[in-house]
Amino acid sequence: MTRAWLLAAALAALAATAARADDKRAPLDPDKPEVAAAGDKKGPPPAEYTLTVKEGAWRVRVTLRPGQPEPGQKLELLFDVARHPDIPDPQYGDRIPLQGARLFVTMSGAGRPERHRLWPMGDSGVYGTHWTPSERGLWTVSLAPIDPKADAPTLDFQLGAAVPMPASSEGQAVRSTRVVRVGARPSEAGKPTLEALMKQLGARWLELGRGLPEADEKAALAAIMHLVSDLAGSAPRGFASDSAEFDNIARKLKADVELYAAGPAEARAQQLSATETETCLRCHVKFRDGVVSDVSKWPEVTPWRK
Amino acid sequence: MAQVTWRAPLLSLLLLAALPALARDQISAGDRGAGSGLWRVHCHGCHGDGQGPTSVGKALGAPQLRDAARLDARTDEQLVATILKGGPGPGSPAFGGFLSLLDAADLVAFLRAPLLSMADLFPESAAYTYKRYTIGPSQLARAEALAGHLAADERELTVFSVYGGQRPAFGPRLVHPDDHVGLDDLSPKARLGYLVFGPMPAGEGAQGTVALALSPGFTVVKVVGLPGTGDLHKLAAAAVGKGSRNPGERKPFVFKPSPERAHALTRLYARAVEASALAAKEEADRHLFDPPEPTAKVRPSESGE
Repeated sequence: MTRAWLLAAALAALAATAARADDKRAPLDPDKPEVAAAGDKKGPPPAEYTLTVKEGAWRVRVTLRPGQPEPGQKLELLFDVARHPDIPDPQYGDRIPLQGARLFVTMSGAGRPERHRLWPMGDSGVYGTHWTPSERGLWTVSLAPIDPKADAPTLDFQLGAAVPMPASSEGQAVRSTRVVRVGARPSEAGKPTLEALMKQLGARWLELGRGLPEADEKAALAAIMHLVSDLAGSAPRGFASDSAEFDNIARKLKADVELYAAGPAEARAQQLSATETETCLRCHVKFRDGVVSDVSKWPEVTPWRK
Repeated sequence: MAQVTWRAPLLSLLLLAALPALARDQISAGDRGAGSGLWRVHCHGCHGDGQGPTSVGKALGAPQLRDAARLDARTDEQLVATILKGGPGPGSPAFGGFLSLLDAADLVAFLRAPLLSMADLFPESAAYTYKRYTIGPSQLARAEALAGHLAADERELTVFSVYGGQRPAFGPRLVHPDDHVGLDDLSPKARLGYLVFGPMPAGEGAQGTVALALSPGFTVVKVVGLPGTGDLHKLAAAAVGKGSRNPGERKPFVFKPSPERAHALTRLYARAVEASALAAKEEADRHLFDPPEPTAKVRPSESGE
């Protein structure tokens, strides 16, 4: 009897040990990676990341949008370039923005190097460009004036694409941004404007046909379906008499997206192109661009001579 | 001996193949990849895929945008402004409401990416200007004597006049044809040559585009096919160095593997020479009253007095 009890206790102890061992091994299971679990806790990636790079009296505040660069995903690089003189300037004080400069950036390191010119963004001393990292890894971003003799900073910093930012580029990650619309009428406050709706739809639409992983494509399609459902009844101002036509096109777009989602992968590129020509363009030339007065006999159109 | 015969064309072929890559290493206006997606969504429906506008685009008067002559005649800033504010025609909408400045720059980078830049054809170029010329009756007779009858639309051609000198870091500088002060600064002595673009059969009924670079003496310097035109290296090898300022010495190009391509190049050359001659004459008129170049002073002792 005692032996039976001892055997039962030993078996229970072995089972408990095995369970603990399973618990320890669980994160190493390829189906449940530890990173994904941590990612769930972290929430969405940061909307932007800012860091400051110094060179002599120059201070360059760099903003990356989105905050975590990924290979194959467009990154907005903004450079707020200013000089901080020892003796404050009578007009600008202790911060003199660099105006009218012709600058360029070189991205090199993990993949094919690229050189982009920087465009003045409107705000004094702020320049920017778009860049899509081609590879995962550390990249060196070098800022320099196009004319080597120009009075402008020459500096570089590193950023990580799908890898953590290096310690040398320590900065601040901004998790999310929110725009509060003050004074909006209560009836409009909850419903996005057509412009906002189309902006989101355009951003999501660009994710289709890029060969994204199936899960990402499905997420984009789900978002598109949700946005497209809100389109009918949102004819732009000035087209009240043509709202039925707008709604018809919106319904056709919804049907097209459903067809795209249900269709085989090899037919998707053709379906996407057909939708863009038959539905998107048809709506845009009349309701957005206003260059066509009649799209009822599409693709035959009647130009709208303004 | 056979090896020597083969090496030279192979080397020139490799060099020509490397030319577009050189251009792509230059500073880009933006993100070509992002521009490709924007092109698909916003532009492709009217402007098409490089083979000309679609049927909707034709109805709205949309031009072929991936056109080297059109793009080389505009700066990045001008192209960005056209995208955001709209073109001159009523069918050209302003995209400023839903595309940002950087999006427009991405589109410009995408449009320019596969095309040749001025630096590809004239590596020493520092500045260039352009103008569209209509070939007059006397020039037309000369051109038709070389290339046969020219249709009405073939009597017009855009000529790029290319100049050397101190090259800006950003690549050759475009001097707008309305910038008279800028044009005065372009010295005839610094002129490197002329560049024109024209049609070239690309096989199976398709039409491509060829860039033809001429020296100031109207000999062929380079012949480069734009993407989609097919391999023009052998045709280029047969044509480079040919041509002359003297009309009597000009002869049709001969290329037995593809007579129709040789004929297309001859037609383009005939038009290019006459249009470039007009550009040269206009330039000479512009500099007619320029002060003479200072000559070195001669000391009396050296002159023997």
